[in-house]
Amino acid sequence: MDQFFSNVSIGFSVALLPENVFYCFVGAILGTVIGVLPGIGPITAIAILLPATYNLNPTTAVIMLCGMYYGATYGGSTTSILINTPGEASSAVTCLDGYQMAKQGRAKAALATAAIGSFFGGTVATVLLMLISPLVATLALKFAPPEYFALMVVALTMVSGLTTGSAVKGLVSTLLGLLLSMVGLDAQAGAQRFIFGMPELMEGIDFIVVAIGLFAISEMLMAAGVFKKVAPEVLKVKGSVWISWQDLKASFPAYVRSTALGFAIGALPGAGGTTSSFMSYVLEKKVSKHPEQFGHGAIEGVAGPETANNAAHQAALVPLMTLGIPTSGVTALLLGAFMMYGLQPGPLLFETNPEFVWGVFASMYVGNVILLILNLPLVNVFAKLLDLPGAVLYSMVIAFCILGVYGLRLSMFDVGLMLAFGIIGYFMRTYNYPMAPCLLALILGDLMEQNFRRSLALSAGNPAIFLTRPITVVLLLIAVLILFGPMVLGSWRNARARVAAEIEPEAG
Amino acid sequence: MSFDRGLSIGLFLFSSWALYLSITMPKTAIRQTVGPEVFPIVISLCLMLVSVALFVKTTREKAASARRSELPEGEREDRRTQALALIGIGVYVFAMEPLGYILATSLLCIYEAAVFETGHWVRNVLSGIGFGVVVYAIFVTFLDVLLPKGILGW
Repeated sequence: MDQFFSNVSIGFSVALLPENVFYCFVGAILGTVIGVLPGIGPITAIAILLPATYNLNPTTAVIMLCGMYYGATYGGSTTSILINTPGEASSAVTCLDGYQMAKQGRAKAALATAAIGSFFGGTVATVLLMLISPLVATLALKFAPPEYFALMVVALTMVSGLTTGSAVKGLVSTLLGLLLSMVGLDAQAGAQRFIFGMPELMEGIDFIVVAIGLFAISEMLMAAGVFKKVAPEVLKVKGSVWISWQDLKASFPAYVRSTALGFAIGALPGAGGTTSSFMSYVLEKKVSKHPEQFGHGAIEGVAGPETANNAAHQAALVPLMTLGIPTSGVTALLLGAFMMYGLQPGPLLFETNPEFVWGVFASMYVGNVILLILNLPLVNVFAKLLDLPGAVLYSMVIAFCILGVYGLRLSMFDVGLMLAFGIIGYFMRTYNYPMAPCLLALILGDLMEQNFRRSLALSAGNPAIFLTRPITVVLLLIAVLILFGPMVLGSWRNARARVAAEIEPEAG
Repeated sequence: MSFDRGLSIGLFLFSSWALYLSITMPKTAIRQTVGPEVFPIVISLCLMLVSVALFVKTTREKAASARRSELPEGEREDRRTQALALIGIGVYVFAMEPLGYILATSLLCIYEAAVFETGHWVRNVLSGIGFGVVVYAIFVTFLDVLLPKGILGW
């Protein structure tokens, strides 16, 4: 426990530096704005703004990016409640009861419980993050290249299997991302791979180009396709937002349950904020004395999911910081950002750069307080953003996307690539191919290959090394179960159903 | 043919090509236990297998690829607007460096806003020019990012 308080003290000594508080504030505001504006998610915003953080010191830059990451979840609930459209995916379930509450004239209570729940989930999850991370990091110090390789295989298969209903589609996305990660000069031997004589590809394909193309440009294309046919109606809120004692009493148990649930789910690859918010909704409905009120304006239906998604987003930083393994699109982007600043997340980071790790963690308390203060009295100001003309907003987002990509290497070739990935992303969205696994694989690909090659170098090229080390075997078995478990289970259920159907007429 | 089935065939061909490129990759002077071609070979083979799995899956399910759309039932996406939005970015790729950031970006913003919603010209022109000038000033002055000056010369 002494160690915990010492870490907290190191963290706050960094997080409370005026520069860091300022950028945490900027990140939190930007995050909320991004969350409020439909069509711009945290992935897009972080990818666009990443080049603008080159001049900041790494700790300050990461504090700002993390502020945007969890700030977006706060803002996401505003649009769910006021226009029945989630500002970002993990706030989708909030529409069910949040919008109903707003229609019944209880928008203030819905917005307040979402903000307080987000604060509660985010803050408690940060405490858990600080308690658990050092333990995981100590365990991870025992990992050698084969274990790391197996861990990445598990992370990628989990993300492939869990992000959509189809593991095959997830795998397609993952493998394409891995192939993309190999474009350019091989780091170990200097071989040119898949560059087709184009010098622009020598340094590889930047993850920001892919992230902005897949997520932002494809979103703009989707928006262009439906823009003239879908016009949202914004419900108005007057005065500042606060919550009655009765509503708070009704929401509190949901805050506690959903924090635990969100944190547990959020640390798993592929699950994340969206899954945890849906599961929290199901849990709250199950334990409620009045489940019939869900879908008709139950406050627990807002409190639970909004708490769970914040806790989950914080929990996703456990595998990222301790193992260097991102579990979602946004954390993959954060990993890319860390690498860009010359930081390699993982167990060693806790020893080599404690000020960075604990500073970033402590900044999350600061960020959550800022977000609560911002979101309760200023929700009307943020809601005003919804009055921005969509056409102007989208045109500026497109221009920002181009600037974000061009700013990387001042190369129009990259902008062209972004456009190509935008078209690919449009088809992936349209036909339900998840995009996050592709981004994750692209960012993890290089590390994965390095660990794969180092493992084989250790065994003089014998692949049996992956089957002779206990942790590696367990991890690879988990990956196999994730991939084939649902298929085997499905076939078994079908066979049982067939047998039951055959027996029934005979018995009859 | 459904999208998924067409894609599975395309992916099989693509992964075969990637496999061929990996196998025929020129050798480097540095001798290593595991060369730079091994991982691409493994991944290409995995992609071939997954493309076969996707083909089998689409054959078994026989259902047309499920499309996701935010539109009400029966409504179709506005392909013309999508194509025009794409063309705007495509033209910008070639026009930005010769025209300069401010001019090209202002024109892009005005054009894209008009593509999304016709009319509102004054609003679109003012916001487009404002965006181009303000962003240029911020990036060049505060963030030291060099953006093309082009024909305006500033």
